[in-house]
Amino acid sequence: MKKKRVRILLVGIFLMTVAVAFVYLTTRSAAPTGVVQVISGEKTAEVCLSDLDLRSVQGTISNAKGDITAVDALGIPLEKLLADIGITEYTTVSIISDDAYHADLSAAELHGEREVYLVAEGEQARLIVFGDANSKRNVSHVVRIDVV
Amino acid sequence: MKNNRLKRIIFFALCCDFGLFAKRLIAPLTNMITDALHIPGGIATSFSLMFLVIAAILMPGGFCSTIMSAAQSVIAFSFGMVGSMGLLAPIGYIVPGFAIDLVLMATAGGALPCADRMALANGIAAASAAFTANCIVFHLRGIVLLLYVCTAFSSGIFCGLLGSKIVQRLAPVFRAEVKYSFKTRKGKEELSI
Repeated sequence: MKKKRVRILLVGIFLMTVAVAFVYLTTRSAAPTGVVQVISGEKTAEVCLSDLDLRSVQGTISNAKGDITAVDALGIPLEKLLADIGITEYTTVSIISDDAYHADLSAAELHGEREVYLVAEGEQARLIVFGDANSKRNVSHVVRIDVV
Repeated sequence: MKNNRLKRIIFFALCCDFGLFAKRLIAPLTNMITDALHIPGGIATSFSLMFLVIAAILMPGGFCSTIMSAAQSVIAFSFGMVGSMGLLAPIGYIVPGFAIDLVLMATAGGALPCADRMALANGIAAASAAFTANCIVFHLRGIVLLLYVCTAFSSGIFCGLLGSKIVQRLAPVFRAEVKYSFKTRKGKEELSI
């Protein structure tokens, strides 16, 4: 009996995974490649990287092991990107990748504490935060920016 | 050193290494699935935890997986394989190892077959690994977190069942020499799959 219960539990978890995957994949909002969705309260804007006035971004970032990587890409300061679409007042900005990984940035960091850029990486967008001790917040394949 | 003890230690070390490096080997394949599901991983970890479950079933003594996972975290540090967890990487290794030991101990006296115990241990360990990684690195919320943990659990179950097949093959090698760590109340050997 106990053996049967465990089998039912294991099959149940598998079926639950399939159901959750179905719900998630059918309800998630997928942005087209190269487009970043910016959501601020009721306001939603779609920003196409290729339409932006990108400039050269150069510097170095460090990972948790202390390895230094050079960054040489075209990008735009995140603060400027938000200002260009009329978002100037906020406390926190969440940068979300395609696989739902996210990094949070405070308004103070965007206003000068850190150099924060959204750079083009192929057809995708990538967040670069200069000055962090590790590269955890350098989110690749950015698809959404939530502004609070 | 007795021959059987040496054999056990070599197997123990091999499972440690397999567990650590198997993740790297299988990652390109599993990333295809996790990319399609838009989650940051979970399946490769389940596969690497399978080796800890196999060793925990075959090795004598309790807390085998916890010791192995601690050894893995030391090896990972020495090779610089800390990933995005950084200094917190040992937590990411030890939590699932401890979960394996707890599940195997909790189910030791029951009538559960070895395959089910391994599936359960692997599944719960993979889910705990996913949850730990989420707390330290990913910070996922809502349905994505649920999908991430469920995918890890399901793949853990699958890997646990796969591991039981490997144990079935390895059991005769160790049967003559190893006193099994977990015995049923009736004193029967655990590995009668």
